[in-house]
Amino acid sequence: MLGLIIKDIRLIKNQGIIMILFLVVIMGSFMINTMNGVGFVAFVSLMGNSYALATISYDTYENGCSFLFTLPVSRKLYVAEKYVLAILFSLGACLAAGFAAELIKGDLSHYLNNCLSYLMTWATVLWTSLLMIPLRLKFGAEKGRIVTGFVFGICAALGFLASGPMRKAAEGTVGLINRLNQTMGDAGLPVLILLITAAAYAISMCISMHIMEKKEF
Amino acid sequence: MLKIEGLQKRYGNYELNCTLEVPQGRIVGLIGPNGAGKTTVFKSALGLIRPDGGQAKLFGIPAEKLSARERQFCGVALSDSGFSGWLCVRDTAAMMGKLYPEFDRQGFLEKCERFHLPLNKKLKEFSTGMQAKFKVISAISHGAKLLILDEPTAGLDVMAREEVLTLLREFMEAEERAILISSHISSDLESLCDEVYMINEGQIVFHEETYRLLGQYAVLKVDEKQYGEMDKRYLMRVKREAYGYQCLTGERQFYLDNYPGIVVEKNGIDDLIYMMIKGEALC
Repeated sequence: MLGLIIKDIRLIKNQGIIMILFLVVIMGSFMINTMNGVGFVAFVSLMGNSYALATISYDTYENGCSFLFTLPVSRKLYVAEKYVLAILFSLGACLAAGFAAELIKGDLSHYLNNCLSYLMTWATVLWTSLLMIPLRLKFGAEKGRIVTGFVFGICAALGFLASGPMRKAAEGTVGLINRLNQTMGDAGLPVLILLITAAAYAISMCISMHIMEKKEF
Repeated sequence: MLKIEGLQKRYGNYELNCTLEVPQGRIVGLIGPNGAGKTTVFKSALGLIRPDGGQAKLFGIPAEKLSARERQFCGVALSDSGFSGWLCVRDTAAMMGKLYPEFDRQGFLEKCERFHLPLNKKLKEFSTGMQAKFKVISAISHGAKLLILDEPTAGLDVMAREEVLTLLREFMEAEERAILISSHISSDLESLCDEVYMINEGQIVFHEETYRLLGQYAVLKVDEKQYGEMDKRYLMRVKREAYGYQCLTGERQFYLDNYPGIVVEKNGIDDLIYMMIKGEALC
């Protein structure tokens, strides 16, 4: 797996200038107070995640996967590496962005206390990976992008249509959250969310592995 | 090293049906016109596509069950695929260093420099010839025992082609190695291969040792009268021409000895491909 991770890091590194430009813009927005701390952390995490996912496009470009799977790389290992890379990049970006946000505010004393909320943000970002990786692997870079947009569009439409019932459900959820907080403490709910995300991540990885096993190159 | 037995693959009306073997110590060429099925054979052998029937075995193991360890001993250059174009030579060296325990980083970089391949330039900026050289150098730099090379000399000029062929000959100096290679440049295969398989419309139509192919096969050019009188037992293919007939035979000496009046041309692989595809078999 290390060989694949090195390949992907070098692919991402070769796009370094664009990444730095993005970071400068986002950091600038945060510094002039058009973006709050959570938004800043979420945006940077999402960016880290996107760079990890972009490596799938590089691999599939010009039939690259044909050659890739002649190397000592199994399809399962390839899929696992993409999920690990998405975790590494989004988590690294999340924690670094949190640290940068505190640093810009000039008070690092709350960094560790805020880490849990950063991790919650990161868990939300991971949901994009677990939806997008199987789609990219199934449909390839170009079609995958279209299908991803379509899927997110459907999600948004469903969200809009179900906004009424969801509002009622949310009221019930607040009660549930309060009860959970009382029984599990302050860390209970974040840990539960992280566990649910981890389970969804594992299911997504199994689906992706199944997709790759079936694919021909 | 590689054994393909009754391999079948169907795409619509196209059907591949292939049996071939690459024994240890041999260089085997796969020839045929565009779309004949060469790349499909390579991809089946590498487990990139699933056959509908039959089996391809590398090192005695079915291609689809090859582990990462066994794949280390297989060096591959594909005509339509390779390392990501956004990587440079140094990036690929770092990657292969982790994937292949026997990767010879120093030798790899030295060969790249010998072939004037820039180490820090993105592969997508390489010329076609540079990319072809890079693919072969990559395939031979990690202790492979079997090379599977699909059109490795495509796009190379004469000098570069000879350099690549020299690399392959050097690779074969060590024992326990073998190569399966396809090329459109028949002179490359004539000078390199120990035996040749020919594929046409998905079927293996010909298999012969290269020395026999070049030494004993011939194209005969005869007029109507000569054709009518000649012994046709050893004619493999016949094609009608304006002057009479063109015939492919595997018994050149027989016709030289018995029919001194006919034109007997020593054939190359190109003639063989032409006659096997365009000519008609005699019943």
